[in-house]
Parts: sequence; structure tokens; C-alpha cells
Amino acid sequence: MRDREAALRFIIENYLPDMLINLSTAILIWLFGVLFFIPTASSIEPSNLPILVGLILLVAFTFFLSRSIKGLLTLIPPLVDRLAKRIAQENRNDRSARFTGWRTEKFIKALVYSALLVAFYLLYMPLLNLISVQINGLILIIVILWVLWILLKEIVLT
Amino acid sequence: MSAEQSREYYEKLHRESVKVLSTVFPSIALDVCAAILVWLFGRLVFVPIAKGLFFYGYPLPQIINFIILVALAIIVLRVLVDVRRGIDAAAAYISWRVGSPYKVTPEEVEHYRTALRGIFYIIAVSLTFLLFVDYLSAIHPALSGVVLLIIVIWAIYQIWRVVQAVSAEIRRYTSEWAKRTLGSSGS
Repeated sequence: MRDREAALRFIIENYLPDMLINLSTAILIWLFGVLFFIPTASSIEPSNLPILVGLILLVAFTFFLSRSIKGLLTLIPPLVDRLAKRIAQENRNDRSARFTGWRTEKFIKALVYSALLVAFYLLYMPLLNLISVQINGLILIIVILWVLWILLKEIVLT
Repeated sequence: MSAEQSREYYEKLHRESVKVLSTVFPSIALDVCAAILVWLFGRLVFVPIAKGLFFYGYPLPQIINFIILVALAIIVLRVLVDVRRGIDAAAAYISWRVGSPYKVTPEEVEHYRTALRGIFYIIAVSLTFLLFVDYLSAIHPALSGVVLLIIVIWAIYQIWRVVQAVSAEIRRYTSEWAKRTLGSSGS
């Protein structure tokens, strides 16, 4: 238990700051870009300028988001594990207690990964829509299939 | 820094930031009102009146646009000077609020100052661009687009600088949070 806490603390101290720094840079770029620069570009010249601005923002946003992904993927499993154990402990008196911990962990893991995937897609959507609605549609299909796969793999098939 | 020096620095920080903030806000409000009035009169009165008129062969609306642009530039420069003073004071005030009593260091104030300056510069430049966009388009249609692209690239660089400026604070607070929530055991 003590080793696990120490490992989690090591991960938080080493990965969380860089993840937060890169993620907050990406979010700030997204906020200024989607809420100010793209509407301004559309009001100046509605056909080509928003695509150019959108491309610049997309590259910068993707760069910082990709730098935060490593930390995010390292942080999520131990945090999910901790959360699942806490929930399982609370439900200890339940009749199906011997399955609760295992099921809860799988369920929370699937939920967190699906939510992250949907959140990332929602962040990309306004930028992708500017460049091509068709590409946005294709990526939406991929995201839906991916979420279904995660849910099937973590909850139904195991 | 000794305890007495920290205490003095902490109190001086609060006193001076409140004093500067209380003098800077009225000045900014007056200049912003003047800029809005010049913009409104230029766009709704002078430019429409001058339409179709020529001054020694030059189209009068373009000359008026240029004059208004210069007037706005002077007012905006005044506002930017005041905003810069206000940002420094706001950074000092924030570090006074965030830091526990007597635990604020000059480096921390400088980090918050750089971060706040960056965000305010992006907002100020964006608002200034909005104020000038019609006049830039009147001079040449592509000018406002090129300026916007330059502002977008500059804003991305500024955002990166803002987050880097407070990265030391993010690291420290994350470490403190980890210690608090997971205890002091382990590495």
C-alpha cells in the first residue's frame, strides 16, 4: 500500500507538472483561437483567411496537446486504480462484493478513456470544421468506433 | 531574506499595488472612452460625410481614415502605458493574495508579472486590432488579413511564454499538493 502511494506520488511529481504546463498552453491557444481569432478572420474574409488561421492554430494546439499526452497516459491508470479502489471499498457491504472492485476498475477506466477521447474530439471539432467538414465527419466516425471498442473491450468482452 | 525583510516586502507589495491600481483604472477608463468616441465619430460621421469628395485629387475618406488611425494610435499608446503599469500592480496584488503571509519572493512576483503581462498583451493587441481593422482594410483589403496572421503567430508565442513563466509555481504547487494528499512517505 505504502509502495503504491510512493509510486503514485513519484508519477504525480514527475509527470503532472509538465502535463499541466503543456495542456494549459494548448487550452489557452484553443480559447484565444476559437473564441477570438477565427471569428475575427471570418469577419475580415470569410473564405480563405479562417482556413489559414485554423491551420496555424491546429498545428500549435496539436503540438502542445501531443506533449501532454505522455503524462496523461502515465497518470490516468494509477489515478483510475486509486479511484476504483476507493469506490470498491465504499461498496464493500454489497452482495456482489467480490466482483465489485474488478468491475468498478474496468468501468471507470472505460469511462475515463471514452470521456477523454470525446473531449479531445470536441476540442478539435471547431478547427477541423474550418478546414474540411468531410474530414471532420470521418474523424467523428473513427471516434465513435473507438469509443465503442473501448466500452466493448473493458466492460462487455472481459 | 530575513523574516523582518520578508514582512516589509510583503506589506510594501500590498500598499504599492493598491495605490497604483486605484490611480491607473480611472486613467484607462478615460482614454478608452476617448478612443471609442474618436472611432465612432470617424466611422459614423466623418467618413460617410467625406464619401465622394476629393482633396487635391486624393479621395478624402482615405485621408480621414489615416488621420483617425493616427489619433487612435496615440490614444491606444497612452492606454498601453497605463495598462502596463496596472498589470505590474495586479501581478504584485495577485502574488500578495496567493502567497501565504510573508512568503512572497521577488522572483514569484516577477513570474506572475510576466504571465499577466503576456495575457493582457494578447487581449490588448486583439482589441487594438479590432479597433484598426476597418481602417487597415480601407488602406488595402489584404493588410488586415496579413496583420491578423502575424498576431495569431505572436499570440501563440506569448501563450507559450505565459505558461513557461508560471511553470515554476505549477511545479511547486503540484509537489505540495502531492505531499498533502498522499502524505510525505516515499521518494
